[in-house]
Amino acid sequence: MGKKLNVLVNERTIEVLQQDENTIFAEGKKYDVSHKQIDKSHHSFIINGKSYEVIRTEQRNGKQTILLNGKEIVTEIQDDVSAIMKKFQSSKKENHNYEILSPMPGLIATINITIGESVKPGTKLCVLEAMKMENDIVSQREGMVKEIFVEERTIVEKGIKLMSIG
Amino acid sequence: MKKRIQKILIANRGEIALRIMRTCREMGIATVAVYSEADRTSPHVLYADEAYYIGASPAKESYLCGEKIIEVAKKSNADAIHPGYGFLSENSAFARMVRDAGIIFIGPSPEAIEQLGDKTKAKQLLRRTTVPTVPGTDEAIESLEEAKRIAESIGYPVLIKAAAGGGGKGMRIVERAEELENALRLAQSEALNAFKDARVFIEKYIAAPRHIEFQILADNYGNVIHLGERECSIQRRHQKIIEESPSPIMTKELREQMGEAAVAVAQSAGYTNAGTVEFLVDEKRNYYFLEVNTRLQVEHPVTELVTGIDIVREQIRIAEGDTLRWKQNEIRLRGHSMECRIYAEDPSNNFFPSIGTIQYLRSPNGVGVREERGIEEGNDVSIFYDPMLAKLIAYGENREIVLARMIRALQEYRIAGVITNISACISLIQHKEFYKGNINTGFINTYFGDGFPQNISDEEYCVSAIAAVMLMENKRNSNVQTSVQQVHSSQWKNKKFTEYR
Repeated sequence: MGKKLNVLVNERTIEVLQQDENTIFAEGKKYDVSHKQIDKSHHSFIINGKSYEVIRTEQRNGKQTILLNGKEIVTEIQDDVSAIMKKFQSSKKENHNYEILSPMPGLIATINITIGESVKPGTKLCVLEAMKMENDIVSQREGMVKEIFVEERTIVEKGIKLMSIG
Repeated sequence: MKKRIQKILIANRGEIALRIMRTCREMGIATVAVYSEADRTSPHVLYADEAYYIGASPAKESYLCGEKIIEVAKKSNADAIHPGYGFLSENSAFARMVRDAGIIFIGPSPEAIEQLGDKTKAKQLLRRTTVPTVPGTDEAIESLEEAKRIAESIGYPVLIKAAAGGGGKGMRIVERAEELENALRLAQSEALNAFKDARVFIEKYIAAPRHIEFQILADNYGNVIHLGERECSIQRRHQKIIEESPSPIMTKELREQMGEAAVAVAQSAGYTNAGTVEFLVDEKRNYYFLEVNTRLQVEHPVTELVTGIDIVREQIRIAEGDTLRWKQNEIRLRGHSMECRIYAEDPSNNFFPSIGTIQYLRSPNGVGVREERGIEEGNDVSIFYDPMLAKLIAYGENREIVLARMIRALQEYRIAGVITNISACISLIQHKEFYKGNINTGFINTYFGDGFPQNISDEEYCVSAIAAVMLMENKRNSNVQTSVQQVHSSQWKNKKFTEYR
C-alpha cells in the first residue's frame, strides 16, 4: 500500500504514488527507482534504467530546489495542510501599496526621490550599481512615495524592499 | 643584454591571474598574488608562490590601487608586473608608475596605451593611415549641446562610448534625441567609476555588424605579426559571451587585408607586446576599425588553440627584450576553436547577476576541452567583481565538430549555488542560424529578445517529482540513522565506562 502525494514542480502539479522503496508511480506511470546519495547535496537516480544526476541546492519552507540537466527546478510536496495554509496566506495578503523591490544584488548609488514626492511611470527612483554597471530603477506607476527602506551607499540583496509608492 | 625575469606580480584576480601564473610556473618564474578582503581563499591566492593583502573588497580599495600594488612588487622583489585584463591593465598612468619604479610592465608602453587605448586618440592617429574607421567624433564630448549637434550631423542611432576601457562599461546606444541627455550622464558616470576617466565620445551606430578582432604580437624592435582573427559577435549588454576562430565568414583574402590593417594600426603607434585590434564588419564585409585593446584579452585561448602559441609566454619573452620567434608567413592556423564565457547571471531575467556560494562544482573534461576558472566549490560569488566564473574552450578539426563538442562539454558542467548562463549558451549554439554561422552583435536581441525560457520536458517534470519525494524520504531516513547512531554510541560509552570501572 502506498501513499499518494501531489508534488508541485515549478508551476505544474505531478501526482506521485510511492509503492515501496524502489517503485514509484508518477502521473499513473510506473517507475523503478534506484537512489544513492553521493555527498551532501549530490544524488544519483536511475529511473527505469536512465541515469540522472540531481543536485539539491536549497531546502527551505518545505520547498526543495534541485538542479537537473543544468536546469534549476523548484519542487514542493503538498499535503492537505500545506494547501490550506497557502490559500489562507494568499487571501490575507492584500496590499494596495506598490513596492519597489531590488531586481538584483547591488549598491544603492543614489536615491533620487524623497518621501512625499509624487512620481509618474518612468520617474527615476534610484540608481543601483552592480558589477560595475549603473542601472536606473524607475517607477512603473503614478503615486506618492510613502516610504524609503534603504539608504544611499548601502548594499542590497535581490528582492529587498527599496521603497513603497501609494 | 636581455634581462631574464625571475619573479612576476600578477595585478589581478580570478581565472586570468591563474592563467598567467600557470605559464610563469612552466617558465620557472616565481609568482606573486595580490588579494582583497573577499579573495583571501580565492584560487589565485592559493596557487601563487607569494600572496599579499592589498585592501578591502571593493576594487577601488584594492585591485585599482596602483600605489599599493607597486609597493608589494618592491617588497617582494618582483622584476615585472602582469596586469591581466580589466582593473589597471589599460591604465597608462599605472604603466608609467611601474616603469618609473624600475619594474617591467608586461604590456605596451604607457605612450602606446595613451595613443591606442584611448579611442579618440586612436581614431585621430588612424586618419593618417588607410585603415577605415566608423564616422564619429575625434574629440571627447565637452557638453550636451555639442553631443546633440554631433548626433544630429551623423544621424541616429548613435553610440556613446567611454574613451578609456571596454567591456560595455560606459557604453549606451541612443535611438532618439530625447534619450541623449540621460544616456550621456549614465555613460560618463559609469566610465568614471570603471576607468577613473569620464571622457566619452559619439559615433555612428552600425546596426547588426559582426565583431571580428585580430590578435597581434609586437616586439621592441618594430616587428609586428597577427595571429588570425576571433569572431566575437555573440554579445549581451555589449559584453561577449561566445567567441570563435576562425570566423565563419573569413576568407584568405579578407584575413590578409584585415590582418595587414591590424598590423598597420600597431605600427602607427609603435605598439609593443600583445594586443587586439577590433573591427566591425557589416553585411557586405566592409570592415571598420573599432578600437585597440592594449592588453591580454579574455578570449585569447581561442587563438592559442588554433595557432599552438602560448600568448602569455610570448608576452613575457617580449617584455624581456626577445625578438618575435615567428615571421607572419610562419603562422599556421589549424582547426577550429570556440569559447563560452560562463557567467553567474540569470538569462531568464535579463542577465541580472546572481550572487551566492558555489555549493557544488564539477568541470567538463575530455578530448578537445580546456577550462579556465578562477573559482572553486565553497567560494563566494560576490557583488564586488565581474560575474564571469570561468571560460570553457573547445577545440577540434572543424566548426561542426567543435559545436557538438562544446554542447557536450556544457552539458557536463555542474555548477550549483548561483544561477549560470550555461543552458543559455547551449540554446545559443543549438540555434540553426548560429549553426550556419549567420551571427551578428544583434543575435541575442533578434532571436532571444524574450529571454531564454527554461524548457522542461515531461520526463524532467516526472523525474523532478520522483526526486523530490525520494529526497524527502532520504532526509527522514538519515534523521532516523542519526538518532540510532546516537543511541548506539551512548550504549557503547556506557559499556566502556562500566568495563573500566
